[in-house]
Amino acid sequence: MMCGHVLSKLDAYIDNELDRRARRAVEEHLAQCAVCREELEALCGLRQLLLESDFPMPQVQPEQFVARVGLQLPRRDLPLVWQPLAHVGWWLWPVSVVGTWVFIDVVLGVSRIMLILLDSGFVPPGLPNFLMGGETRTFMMTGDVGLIMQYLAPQVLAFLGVLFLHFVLVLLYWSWLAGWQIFRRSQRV
Amino acid sequence: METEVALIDKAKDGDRQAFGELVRLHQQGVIRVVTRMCGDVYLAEDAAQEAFIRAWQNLPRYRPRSPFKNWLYRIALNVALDRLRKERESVDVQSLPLTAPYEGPEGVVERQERQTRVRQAVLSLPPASRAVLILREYEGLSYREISETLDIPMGTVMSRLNYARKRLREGLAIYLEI
Repeated sequence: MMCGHVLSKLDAYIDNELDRRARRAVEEHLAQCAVCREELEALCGLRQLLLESDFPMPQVQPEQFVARVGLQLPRRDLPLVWQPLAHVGWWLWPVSVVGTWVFIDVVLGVSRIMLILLDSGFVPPGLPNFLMGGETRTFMMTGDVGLIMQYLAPQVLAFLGVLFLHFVLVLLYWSWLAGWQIFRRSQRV
Repeated sequence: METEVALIDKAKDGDRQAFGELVRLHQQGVIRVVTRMCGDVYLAEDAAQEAFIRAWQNLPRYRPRSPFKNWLYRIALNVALDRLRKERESVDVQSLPLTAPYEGPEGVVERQERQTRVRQAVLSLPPASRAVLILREYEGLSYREISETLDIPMGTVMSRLNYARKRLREGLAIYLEI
């Protein structure tokens, strides 16, 4: 084993953080490498030095300390009963946003498939006649700009509507994420 | 005698007496952590009290995923860091009362001087590395526990610990010569 490899594992070794195999490998290497042994001894020496030089602790009377803390305890802000409700409400937000997004996209996807099928002349049995879309082809073939616009305008509007809806959903989701981050930060104690 | 879990549940519901028991159980650990973090016994006692008050306020949000003691340590370290940030301009590591009030024979003077140097070296570490070192060397927490307590990845725990030890070994080389 290369010496460098063991040096990088010595911290974990003295902290007892290596698994049995890695530990044995380190020990086998230490048995034959003076450089690593010296490094290990220095780390152990440092540990010993730290323990011998621990900080002087304040002389605190336990009962007095408990009493002093007790006197300073403030009232809690949020009534406990609201916390589970707030928690559920908080998680309902992203769930409903994602749920709405999935619903809208499924509906749009299905209707798109239906339109493609209708456009290609396939009529599923039992489908009403007014959904066949024969007029579309007529408009496109005439080349009349006015008629094309008349046809495209609702399509463009529908597209913009869907785009806007997605934008709103993304905005809602991002605002929840931002709120979540702020919440997480405020939870740091 | 009630278990810690029962005391936590009661304290969560606002039972101050149960919280008092928790304070009694964990005061020594919290005081140790803040003292080592601040290096100042006077500051440490105040900081320990503040840590328990902050714990009381945040107790309803405590989830027993990690031991209660480690959760308290996290609060204590944050309070100590806040205090140090506030006091940074006024506190000078060299001027802290780091020597135990003990008078003794001449050999002891040398030992006291060495201890003071070691404490100064620990206090001169960046707070993030110092916190990891304290939890590992003095409180005996595992890397995973430190990672959960400080909410940092395990890799960061290892690198901070490695950095702290490297810095200390450089600064305290004269005491580590074999």
